Amino acid sequence: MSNSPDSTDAEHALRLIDHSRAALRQAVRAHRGHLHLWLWGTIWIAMSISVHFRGSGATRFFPFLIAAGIISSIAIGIYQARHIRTPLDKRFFAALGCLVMFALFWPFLFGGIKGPRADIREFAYYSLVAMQIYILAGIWFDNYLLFVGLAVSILILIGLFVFPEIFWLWFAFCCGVPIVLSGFVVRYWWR
Amino acid sequence: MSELDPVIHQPVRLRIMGALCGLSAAQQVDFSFLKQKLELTDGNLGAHLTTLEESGYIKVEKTFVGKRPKTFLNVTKSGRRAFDEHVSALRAILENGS
Repeated sequence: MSNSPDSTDAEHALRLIDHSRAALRQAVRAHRGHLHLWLWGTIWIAMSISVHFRGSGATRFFPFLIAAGIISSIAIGIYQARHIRTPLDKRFFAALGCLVMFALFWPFLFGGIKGPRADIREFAYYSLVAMQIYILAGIWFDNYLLFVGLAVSILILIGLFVFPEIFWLWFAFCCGVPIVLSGFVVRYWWR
Repeated sequence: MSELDPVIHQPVRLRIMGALCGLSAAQQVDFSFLKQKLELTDGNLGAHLTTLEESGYIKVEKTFVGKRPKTFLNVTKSGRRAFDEHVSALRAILENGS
């Protein structure tokens, strides 16, 4: 390319840039958080559907599902970081730690969640905590997580206060399914 | 008005910067992966990365994944700014038709 390019050289240079961007774009998209959204959306659907059909006894499987989700998320993170990685941000993890500690300990300090429909209120509470993590990650890294966190938080609250009788079904179809669908948006359409 | 940057204007470096500027500020790409995506050789990519690193346009981080050495690259703030200005200058040439 000439050092004093004309419009043909400039057009060629811009085309080179487009080609190199396109070469990496697919890889960048494949390294987004869609796999985590599919995973956790599916886990949420499984949890709420199991309680709806099998009663509150199904909640004993929740810790195993959550543990499997955490292990899978870590494995996905390690796999994706082979090619494109985002270095760990210590301040983000400190903020995340504070949020999780606060969210886990205050119900115990104040006597837990009691009263009518404590089961769905407790589940909604911990789901809202998970969505606050999405919001925090969205503010820190990529704003699609912020939108997912805010939208699903609102849907959880609608289910809790407007449709408590069908809360578990509401949660599966109006909270779990949107998370899975948001994974497709992030993977294929989000720029 | 933006001016062309002679460091970035070289075609291979232009492709490297184009690819790296497509990543978010926090993301880093593996050397071998970039080499494969841009269809370059080790030596060719390495030489141009050195030029870009010396100009302060990219950051090269050598690390280990397990026992294997890995080199991760990302563009610096000044590199992103220089690249944006370079693209603006190219667009201006195209619009002026000179």
